[in-house]
Amino acid sequence: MNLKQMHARAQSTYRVRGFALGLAILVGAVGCDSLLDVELPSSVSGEALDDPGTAQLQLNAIMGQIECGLSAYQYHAAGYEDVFEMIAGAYGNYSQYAEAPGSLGEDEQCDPDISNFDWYDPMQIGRASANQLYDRIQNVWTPESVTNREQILAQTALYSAVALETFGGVFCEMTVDGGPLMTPDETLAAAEQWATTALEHIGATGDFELANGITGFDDEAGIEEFAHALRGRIRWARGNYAGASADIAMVPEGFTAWISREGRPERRNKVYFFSNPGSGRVLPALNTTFWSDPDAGFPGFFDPPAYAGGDWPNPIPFTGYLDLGIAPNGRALTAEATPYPVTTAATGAVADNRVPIRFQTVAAGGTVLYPVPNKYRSEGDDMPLVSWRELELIMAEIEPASAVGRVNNLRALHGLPQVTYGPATENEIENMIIEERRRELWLEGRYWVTKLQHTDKLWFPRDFGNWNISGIPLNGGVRIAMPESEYILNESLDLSDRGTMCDASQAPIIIG
Amino acid sequence: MGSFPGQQTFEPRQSLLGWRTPLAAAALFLAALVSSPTLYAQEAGTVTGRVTDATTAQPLASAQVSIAELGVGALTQQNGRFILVNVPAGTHTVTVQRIGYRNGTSAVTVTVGEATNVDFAIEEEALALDEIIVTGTPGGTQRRALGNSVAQVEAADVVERSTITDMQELLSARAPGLTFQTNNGNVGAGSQIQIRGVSSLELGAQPLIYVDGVRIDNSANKGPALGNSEGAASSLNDFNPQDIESIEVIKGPAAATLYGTEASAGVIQIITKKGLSGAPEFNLMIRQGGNFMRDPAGVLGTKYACPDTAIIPESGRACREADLLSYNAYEIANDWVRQENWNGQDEILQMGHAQGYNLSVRGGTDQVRYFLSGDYSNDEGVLYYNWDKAVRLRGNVSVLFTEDLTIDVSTGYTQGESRFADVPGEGNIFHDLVWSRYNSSISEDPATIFNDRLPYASEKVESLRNYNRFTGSATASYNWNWLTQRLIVGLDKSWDTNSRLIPLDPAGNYEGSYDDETGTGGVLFYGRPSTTNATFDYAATADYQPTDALTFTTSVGAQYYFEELEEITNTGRAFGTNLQTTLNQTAIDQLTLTFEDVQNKSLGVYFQEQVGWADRIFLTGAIRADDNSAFGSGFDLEYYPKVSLAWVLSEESFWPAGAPINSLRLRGAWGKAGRQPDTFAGVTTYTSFQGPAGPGITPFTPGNENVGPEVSTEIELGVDFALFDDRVSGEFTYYDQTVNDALVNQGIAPSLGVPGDVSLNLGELAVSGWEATLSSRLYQSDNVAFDLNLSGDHTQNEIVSLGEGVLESDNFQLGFPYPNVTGTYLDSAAVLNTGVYGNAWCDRGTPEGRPGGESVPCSDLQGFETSLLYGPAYPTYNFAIAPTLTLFNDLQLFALADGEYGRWVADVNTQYAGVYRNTRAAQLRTDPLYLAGNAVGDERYLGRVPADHWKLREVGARYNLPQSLVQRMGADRASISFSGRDLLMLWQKSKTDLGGQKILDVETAGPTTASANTALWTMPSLASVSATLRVSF
Repeated sequence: MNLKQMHARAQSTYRVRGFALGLAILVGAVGCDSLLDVELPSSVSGEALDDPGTAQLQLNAIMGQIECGLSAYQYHAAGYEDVFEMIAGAYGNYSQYAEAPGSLGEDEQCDPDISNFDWYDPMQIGRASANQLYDRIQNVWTPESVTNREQILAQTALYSAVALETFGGVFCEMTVDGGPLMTPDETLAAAEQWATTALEHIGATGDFELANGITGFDDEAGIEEFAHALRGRIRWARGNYAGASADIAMVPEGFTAWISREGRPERRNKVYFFSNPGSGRVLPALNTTFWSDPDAGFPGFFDPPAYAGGDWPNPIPFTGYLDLGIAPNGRALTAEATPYPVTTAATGAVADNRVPIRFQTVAAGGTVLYPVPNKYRSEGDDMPLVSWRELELIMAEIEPASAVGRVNNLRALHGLPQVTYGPATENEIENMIIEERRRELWLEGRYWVTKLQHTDKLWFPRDFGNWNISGIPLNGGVRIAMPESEYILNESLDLSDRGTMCDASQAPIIIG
Repeated sequence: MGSFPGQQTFEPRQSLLGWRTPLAAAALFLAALVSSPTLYAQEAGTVTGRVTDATTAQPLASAQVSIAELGVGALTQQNGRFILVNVPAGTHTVTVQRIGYRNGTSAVTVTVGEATNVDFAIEEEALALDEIIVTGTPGGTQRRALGNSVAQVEAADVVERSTITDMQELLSARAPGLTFQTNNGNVGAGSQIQIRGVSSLELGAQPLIYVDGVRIDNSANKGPALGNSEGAASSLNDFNPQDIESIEVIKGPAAATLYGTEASAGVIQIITKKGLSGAPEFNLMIRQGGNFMRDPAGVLGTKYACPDTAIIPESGRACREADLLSYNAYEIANDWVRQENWNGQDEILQMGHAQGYNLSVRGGTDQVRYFLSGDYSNDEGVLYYNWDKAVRLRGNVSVLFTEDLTIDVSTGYTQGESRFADVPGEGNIFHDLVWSRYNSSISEDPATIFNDRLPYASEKVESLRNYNRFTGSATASYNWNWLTQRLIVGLDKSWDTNSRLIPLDPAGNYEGSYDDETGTGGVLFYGRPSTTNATFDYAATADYQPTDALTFTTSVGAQYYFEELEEITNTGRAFGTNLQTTLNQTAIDQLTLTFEDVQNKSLGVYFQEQVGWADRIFLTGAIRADDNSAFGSGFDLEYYPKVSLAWVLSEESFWPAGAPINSLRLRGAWGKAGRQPDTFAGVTTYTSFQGPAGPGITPFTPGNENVGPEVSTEIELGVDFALFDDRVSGEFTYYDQTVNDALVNQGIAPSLGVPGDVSLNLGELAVSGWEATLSSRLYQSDNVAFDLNLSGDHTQNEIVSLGEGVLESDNFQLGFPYPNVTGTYLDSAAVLNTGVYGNAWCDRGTPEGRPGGESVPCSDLQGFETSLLYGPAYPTYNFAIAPTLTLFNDLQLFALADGEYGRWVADVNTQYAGVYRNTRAAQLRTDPLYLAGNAVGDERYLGRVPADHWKLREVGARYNLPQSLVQRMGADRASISFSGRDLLMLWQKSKTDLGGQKILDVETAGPTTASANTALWTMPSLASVSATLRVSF
C-alpha cells in the first residue's frame, strides 16, 4: 500500500465515521416530534371536549346549532308552503338533490343560502353533538364532575327531540349517525323517546327556566311545559291523540318557546332577510300571478286551481298570501276572492293581521314595489319553536266538536271576527282548521307539515309534466328526500336507496 | 438539497470534479500572490484590459485572466477590467476563463515600465456544462452531473436588456414548462404560477419559491378580494427584478426530490446579486413609460340595440333587422367622460404613467464585499385610481472570515401599496361597457351606456393592499479539505393590510349588486394578514477520489421549515353617513371579527451519493425522509428516493473530433416528491358557536388521522446538445408523472354531525409532457449577429382515480383533465317562430363523457350528460420565439412572442350578452342555435371558447451609448433601451362568439387554478411601453 492509498483509506474511514454520526443526529432530529408541534390558537382540538367542565359550553352550541337550523328551516319551509313552491326541488337550480354537505365557515355559520339545504346540516350537527354529550355525561364522566348534571341532560335530550321531530315531520325517510334508513314514524318515535327522557330528568331536578326565552301567561312556564308541548306535537303527528291531549293539557294558555338567539352571523331570520330592502331579493309568489308569469319561467299550465269564492272546495286551492282577510261571519277570505281587495270583499271584512304584507322596493335604487312579508321586521325578531296557538289547533283537530271554540280563542287573541258561519260537516271543519293553520302559523315552519298531512286536499304543483325551466320531470311526489350527499357519503346507504322507504303518495321526486 | 452558493462570490466555484483548467489557473493565481513582488519589478510591465460578453458587450466580472507560463493571474472586477502586474517584458499569451464562456486567448508584447492593453470579448458556451446549479442539489453541482433538467434564467442579463417591471415579467416565457395565468388588467395584480401544468387536485399548482436559500411565502392571491374572487396580487412580485442575479427553475418530482414534501409542484430559486471586489460601481436606472389598453374601442367592438318600436310582438323581444341600431360603447362612454369632464380626462381609459428608479452600488475588498440597492416604482393603470407603488431596498454583504469560512448575509425589505380598480361582484368600469345596454335616450344622456353604475360610483370602491416584507438570510460556508459544510438560516416575514371599502351611498349607485345584508349602509372589509417563513438548512458534502477517474461525492443534509399565517379580519357594515369610512364608524352590531392562525412545520433529512467517472458519467442516488406537522397522527414518515444518470457522451474518446454534434449529454432521472396536506387535515377541530344560553363549542372541521402527503413519482429523460461548433444548441426533456395518494376533499355524511370535508389520500393523477429549447446564432459577422431562440412545451393530465365514494362534479370527473371546462353540446335546433326555438337536440356524450354520443332531445339529458368535456382549463402547449439582432455590438433589437394552445375558457360575457341583449344575435333572435344554446345549456353552450393565441410579449431595442459620450458624462458605461410589452395579439383563434360579440383577451382568466368558469370576467391585461436609461459609474 503506497502513501496515496493509505491516505485514501484513512480519508474513507473518517468519512464513514463522520457521516454515520451526522446521519444519526439527523435521524434523531426527525424522530423528535416536538419539533413539529404546532399551535393552532384559532381552533380548538377535540381534547377539550373530554373535560367535564365544558359540558355547558357543549350544550350551548347544541342549542345554538339546532335553533340556528330551525330558523333556517322556517325560511325554507316558507318555500314549501304555497309562498314559493319548490316541493319538487326543481325551481331553477335549487335542487336539494344536488346538495353537498354544508361547509360552515366562520362567516357562514348556519347561513343557508336560498339555493342550499343547509338547515339539515346544523340540525344534524346539533343532534349528533347532543347524543355524544348525553353519552359522555351518563357513561364517561362521574356525576360529581358535571355541574347542573340533570338540567344539562334534560336540555340535551330535549333538543335531540326537537331535531328529530323536525326531520320526522318533513322527510319520508331519515337516518342518524351514518346509520340505515328510518321511516318518519321511527324518526318521530325516537323524538318522542328523547322528549320522554327529558321529562324524566326534569322530574329528577324540578322544572327550571330555559334560556331560549319561553313566554306565556303562566309565569311558571319553564322547560317542563316546553317538553310537554313538544311531545304533544310529536304524539299527535304519530296519531297518539290521547297521549297528545295529555301532554297538551300540561301547557298553559299563551305558552310559546321561542328561537330567540340574537345577532349575526349565527342567527339568521331568513324570511326577514328575504324581504329586506337592499338584499335585492323578494319572495316572488305571494300571490298566484307568479305562477302565470312567463317571465318567471312558468308557461301557464301550472296554474293552481282557481277559487271563485264560496265554501272551501276539495282540494283546497292555492291562494297566495296577498291581502288575506276575515269576513264578519268569521269566514276566511282569499286574495282571489271577488271583489278584490279584501276591504271590499265582504261588507265589514277585516285584514287578517296574522299574515302581514307590505309593499316596498327591494333593491337599492329600485322603484318597483313588491309585496314582502312583514311578519318579522328585523333579524333579531324571535321565531316560535312550539306554541300554545298551534296546540289549540291540534286539539281542534283531535276534538272536532271543540274546533270552532278553539279557533275563536285564537281569533280573540288577535282581535279578529269570531267564526259564526257555522261549519258543520267534518270536511268543513277540517278545511277551516287547515286554513287557520295556514294563517296562524305563517312563516313558522308548521304549515308545510300540514300540507304533507293533507296531500289529498292541498294543491301541489305536481303531475304537470316537465318543468320548463330546467327540463326536470315532476311526476308526483310531495315530501323531500334527504340531501343527496347523505345517501352517497353514508356508508350504510347508497344513492339507489333514495325514496325506497317513502309512502307512495308522498314519495319524493327523484331526479337523475 | 437546494442551497445558496455563498462562496461563489469570491471565486468561480468548481467542484473537485471540474478541477481542470480552472484549478490550474487558480494555482497560478495563488502562485502569483505568494511570489515576491520585486522579482520582476525592475524588468517588468503591466497588462491591463477589459473582458466583455461578445454578444451583449456587457462587462464580465470574475473572469480569470492569466499568463500560464509565468504564474501571473487576476480576476476581473465588476466593470470587467483587470490588471496584471510585474509581467516580464516580452511576448506572452494571455488567457481568459469564465464559467459558462469559451476561453479567450491573446498574444501581448509587454514593454518594461509600460502598460499594455488587451481587451477580450468572449462568447458564451452553448451548454455551459461546468455551470454551477444550486437548486435541487446538496451544495451546488455542475450542470454536467445533473440527471434532470434545470432551467436557468440569467435575470441580470434580461433586466439589462429589456424593461422588466416585476418578477413575473422577468420569468414569463423564458423557461419552458413554466407558465403564468394572468389574473386581470389591474397594475399590481399578479398571476398564478404553474410548472408542468397542474399535478394536484386540491392543493393548487404554486411551486416552492426560495430567495437566497430561504423559503418564502409563495401566495398568488394576496391583497383584498376583488369582485367576488380572491385577492389578485402575487407575493413573488414583492421582489425587485433589478436585484436578481439569476433564477433557477426545477420542474418536477424527479428533480425536486431533495426538497421532499411540498416540492412536487416544482421549485423556483431566486439568487440575488452579491458584492464583487473592486472599487464601488454605481448603477443608476431610470424608467419612464405608460400602461394602456390596446384599442379599447376595437376590443369592445360593435354592439347592437333595438328601438322599442322595432320589437316584433310575440317574439320574445326580437328586433326587426332593418331597425337594428349599432353603437360602440367605448365611444359613447367617452362622450360621457368629456361631457362630465370626469377626472379631467378625454377618454375613460387613460395611458397610465409608469416610472421606476433604481440605484445600486457594488464593490468590496477580498475580505468584505457588498451589494446595496434602492428602488422606487410607481405604476398607474388605465383607470386613474389603479396604481401600484413600492420602495424596495436590498443589502447583501459577504465576509471572508478565514480561508475556510465565509458568511453571506442577504437582506431585502419592501414597502408598497396597491389600489385596484374593482367594483362589487364584477370586473370594473370596463365591464359596465362590455355589458352595456343601449337605449333611445342615449344621445341625450350617454350616462345610460354604463350597465350597473356610473364611473363616479365605481371610483368610490377603494380596494387597497398595503404591504411590508422582510426577507433575510445568513449563509455560513465552511470548506475544509474534502469536506464542505453549509448552513442557511433565514426568515421571510410580511405584514399586509388589505382593505376594501364600499362606502355608504344614499343614491344607491354602487351597492346594489353587492350581497350586503345590511342594506344600503356600506361595508368595509379590513384584514391584516401576516406571514412568517423560517428556514434552517444544513448540508454537508464530502469528496473522495480513489483514482484519477473515479470520484465519490457523499452528501447529507437536514431542513427545518416553519410557516405561519396569522390574520385578523374585520367586516363592518352600515356607516352612519357617507363621510364615515373606518371600522369604528360602522354599526357596532354589524361589526365582525375573525382570527386565523395557521402553522406548519416540516423536518426532513436526506442522504445522497454521487459516483462520477472521468468527469463524464455521473450516477446519483438519494433518499429523503420527511415529517410534517400536517400529517395525521397515524401517519409516520414519508420517504422520497431518487436515482439519476448523466453522461457527457461528446467527451468520450470515441466521439469523433469535428463532428457536427460538438456537445452531447444524455440524462435521465427517476424520483419522488410530495405535497403536504392542509394544516388542519389531520385533526378534527372545534370552534365557538353562540347559543341562546351563551357561547359554546361545536365541531368545525373533520380530521383524518391517517392523512399523509401526496406523492408524485416522475421519470424524466432528456438530451442536451450543441451543433456546428456551438452555433446551435438545445435540449429536450420528456417526463411522465404519477401522483399517488392525491388528496381529495370528501364530504362526510351530514348525519355524523361534523361539517365540512375530510382530506383523504384517494386520488390518482397522471401527468406527462415534454419541453424543448433551441438556441442558434443564425448569422454572425464582425458587425452583425442574429440569434434565434425557440422553446416549447407540452403538458397534459388526467384524473385516473378519485377513490370510492368521492363525489364527481363538472370539474372533477374520472378520465378528464383537471381543471377543465365542460358543458352541454348542442347539436341542432329549429326556429318555431321569431325569437322562439324548438326541437333542441343535444349530444348525450360517450360513456367517457366526451362529445360524440347519441343525439337526443336536450330535455332528456341527465346528470353529467350536460357536462361533456370541452378541454382543459390550462394550456397544454406553449411556444416562444425570441429573435435578437445585434448590430455593431452596441445595438440590439429583440422580440419575444409566445403562443398558447389547448386551453379552454368559459366566457361569461357571452352569457351576459344574452341577458343584456347587446349583440346582433341577441337582438334578432333568428339563430336557433343561439336561442337554444342560451336556454338549453344556460351559459354552458355559447360561453365555451378555445383560448389558443399568440401574443407579442416583448419588443424593443437596446443601445450602448458611445464610450466617448459616456466618458464625458463621467460614467463608465451607459445604455438606453426602449421596449413594449403585450403590444399585439398576433393571433387569437376565437375572435367572436356565436352571438357575434368580440371575445376579450383570452389570456386573462380568473385568479385560481380551478376557476375556469370565471375566465374573462375581469378586464384584459394591459400593454405597456417604456424607455430605460442605465448608467454605470
